[in-house]
Amino acid sequence: MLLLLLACTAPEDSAISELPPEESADIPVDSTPFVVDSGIEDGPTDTVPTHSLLLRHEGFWLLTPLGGPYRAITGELLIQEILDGDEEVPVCSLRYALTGTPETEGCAGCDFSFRVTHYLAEGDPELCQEPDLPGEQEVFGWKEPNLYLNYAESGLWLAWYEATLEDDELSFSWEQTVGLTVEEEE
Amino acid sequence: MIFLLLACVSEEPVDSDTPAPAPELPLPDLDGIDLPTAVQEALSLAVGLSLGSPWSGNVTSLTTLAREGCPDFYVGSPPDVDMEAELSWADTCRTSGGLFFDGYLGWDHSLSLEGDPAEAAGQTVEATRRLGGNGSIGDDNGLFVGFDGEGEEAIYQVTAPGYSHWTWSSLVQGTVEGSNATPLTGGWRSDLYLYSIGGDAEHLEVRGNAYFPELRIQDRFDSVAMDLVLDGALGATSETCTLEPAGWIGLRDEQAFWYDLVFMPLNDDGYIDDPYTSCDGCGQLFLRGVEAPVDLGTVCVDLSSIFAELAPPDPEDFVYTLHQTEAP
Repeated sequence: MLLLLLACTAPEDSAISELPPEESADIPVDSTPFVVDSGIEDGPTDTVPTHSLLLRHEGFWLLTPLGGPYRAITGELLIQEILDGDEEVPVCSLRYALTGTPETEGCAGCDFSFRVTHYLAEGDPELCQEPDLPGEQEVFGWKEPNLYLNYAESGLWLAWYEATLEDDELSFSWEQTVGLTVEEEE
Repeated sequence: MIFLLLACVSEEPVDSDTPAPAPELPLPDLDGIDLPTAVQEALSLAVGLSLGSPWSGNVTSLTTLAREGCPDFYVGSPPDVDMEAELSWADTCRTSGGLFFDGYLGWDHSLSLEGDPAEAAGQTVEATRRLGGNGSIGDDNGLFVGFDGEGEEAIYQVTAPGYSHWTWSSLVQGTVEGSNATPLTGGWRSDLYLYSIGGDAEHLEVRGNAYFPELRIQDRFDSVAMDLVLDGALGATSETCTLEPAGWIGLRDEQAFWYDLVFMPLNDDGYIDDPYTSCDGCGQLFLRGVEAPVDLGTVCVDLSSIFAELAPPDPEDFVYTLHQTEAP
C-alpha cells in the first residue's frame, strides 16, 4: 500500500520505474535450472570444420653488424592463408619488407629486441581472415627458441614465432590450421 | 481478508464443484537475519559478476586443456551460429585424457596504449573484450568453464606521475559455471551491468539481477536485484551524498519473497516522501508484492567499503590471440 501511495505522491514526470517492481509475478530473475551442459552424454564424438584455413607466417631477419652486438635488421615476412589445402591459390598472400632498430626496453631475458617496421610490398590485407596481422611497427624480442611480440606495446610479451639464430640470420615461422565459415554459393 | 470472508460464509450451502480456497500464505519474517550485512554481501557479490569470470575461465581452460583438434578453433564465428566474433572454438569432442569440449564460444578484444606513464602527459590505455556463445569444458568430475550467454567489458585508464583515473564497465547476460570461471559453487546467472570510476574518484553504478543456484546470503537469499548509483568520499563535492546510494537493492529468499531496500531516488525529481530524499545512510525496507505488512521499517547500511573491492582488470588480460591457442 505504501508503495502505491508513494507512486501517487511522486511528481508526474519522475521515474517511478526506478523503484522495484510491485508484483512478485514480475520477478525478473529466472530461477529455472541452468542450461549449460554438464558434459557429453552420448559418448565421444568429434565434429570437424567443413572448411579449413591454414595460416602460415615465414620470415627472416638479417642482423648487422655481423657477429653483433646487433644494431639493425633487414628482412622479409611472408603471410599466406590457404583454404582447404589449395596451396597453389592462397586466398591471401602478403609480402612485407622489414627494417628494424634496437629497442632498449626488451623482454625479460631476451638476447635482443627490435622495433620492426613492416612495409607491405605485395598483397592485399583485406583478403586475409587473420585478426592479428602485423601493424606498421611492432616490437619483437628474441630468446631462444621464440621471437616474442610486445603486444600492442603493452608490455605483454607473447611467444609469437618459433625462431632460430644462425650466422647472424634469424629465421622464424608460425603455422596454425583453423576452421572457417564459408558462405556457400547457391 | 479474502480468506476471512470465505470463512464467514462457509456455513452456507457450498457448491461441491467450487474448489477449496488456497491456504493463506504465511508471511515471512526476518528473525535471525542481519540485513545490513546481507545488503553489503549482495553488493559485494554483484560487483564480482563481471565478464572477467567467464573470460578467464575460457582462456585458462583452453590454454591448459586444449589438444590438437579438440577443440577446433575458427577465425570468425563457427558455422550455423548467429554470433559476431573474431575468434572462436566450436566442437563436440573428448580428449584421450577424458576432457570434453562441447558447444561453442566466440570472442574478440582490443587493446591500445598511448603515451608514457612517467611523463606529465601520462599514458592512456583502452581495452575491450566480448565473449558469447554456449560452451562447456570439463571432465567427468565437473566443469572447468560453462558459459551460456554474452558479455562485454571495457576499461579506460589514464596514468601519470601522481595521478590515476579509470573507468570500468561490464555487462554479462548469461549463465556462468565452472571452477576456472567462478569461485562461487554452482555458478551464477545474471543480466548485471556494472560501471565504476576509480583513481581520482569513487563512483559505482549497478543495474540488473543475479541468481545463485547454490550460494545463500545469510543462509536465506538466493538472488539479488538492484538499480543503484553510489558515490564515495574520494572526489565528492559538498552536494554529493556519500552515505547511501540512490536507488534500491533487493534480496530474494528461497520462497521467492523479495525484500527491497529503497534509498534515495535515482533521478533529480525526487520523491515527496522524506524517508527517500534524506541522505542519512538508511533506506526503507519493503516486502515486494504483499499488501501488508509492506513497510518493514528503516535499515541503515554502510556500503562505503565496496570501493576498496573495486579494482579494474589488468588490460593484458583482455588479450587472447590465435598464437596463444596453440595446443601443447
